[in-house]
Amino acid sequence: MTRKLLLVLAGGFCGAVTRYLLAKPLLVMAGALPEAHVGFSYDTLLINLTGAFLIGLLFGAFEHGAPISPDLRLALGTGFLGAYTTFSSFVVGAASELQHGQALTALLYLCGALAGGVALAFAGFTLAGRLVERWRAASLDAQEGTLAGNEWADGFADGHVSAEELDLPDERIAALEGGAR
Amino acid sequence: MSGLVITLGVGATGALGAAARYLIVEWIAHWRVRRFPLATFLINITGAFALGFLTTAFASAAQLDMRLLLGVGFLGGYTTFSTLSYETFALGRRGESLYAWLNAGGSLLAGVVAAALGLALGLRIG
Repeated sequence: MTRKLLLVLAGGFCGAVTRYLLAKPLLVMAGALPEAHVGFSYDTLLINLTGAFLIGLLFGAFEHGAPISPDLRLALGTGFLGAYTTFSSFVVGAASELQHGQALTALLYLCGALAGGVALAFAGFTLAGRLVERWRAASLDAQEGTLAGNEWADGFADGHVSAEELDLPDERIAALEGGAR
Repeated sequence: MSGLVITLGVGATGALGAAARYLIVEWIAHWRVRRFPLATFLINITGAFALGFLTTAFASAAQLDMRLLLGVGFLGGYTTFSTLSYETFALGRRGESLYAWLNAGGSLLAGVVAAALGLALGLRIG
């Protein structure tokens, strides 16, 4: 528990600092305004959309079996990307637009940003699946017949990775089986 | 406060916000609500209210450091847009499209209402 908390703290520190440094110019301007009118912000939008893409990529890579440990997933996903992106400034910005009579801007901002975030999480997830497949195929190609030092092939040799998961033509599976047994 | 101190301060409070989010997620996991990402929803709505309040209650230029540390740091690290996006996508991917729409629409609606309530309350008190 303590170790997990420290991982989230470390990731959260870096995520919050990254967001602050990217958004700082606008925040300083907003802070200088007496009314503290914080409306629609391209900084927050850019940060949130890149963060949604990256979390799709990270969790997608994890789900597709890339060698990402649960600790790394926690530090980067829950810690870094969780703190890098932010929901509170996003909706306070929209609420502020609403109160200034900009209902259409607020509605477009809210729906557009979240639709974009979900689409980018999907894009990241899909891209991660492709990259993991390609990496797997490349590492098998590089070590065809040898098996040594390859996590996936080792997993196959010990029986942890099934022939279906390897997703290779039958003759390649047969070649791997020949090398392993 | 100097730029570097504030930057490190935002990092430190952001880290605490992320840790608070993690602990709440772990705690709410015991409730065994499986179909809906309730933890992220509650975190984001409470954070939206708190930031709305902070923005108007501590609006003066002299309170900028406080807004940076608590608003940009803590509440920025506490609430999350990436997890909301990912969980909505994940619900859709599992075929739970009703819950995906509920999560997206509910978070936006409740979030903006909570933020507006926070802004209004802060104006009264500040």
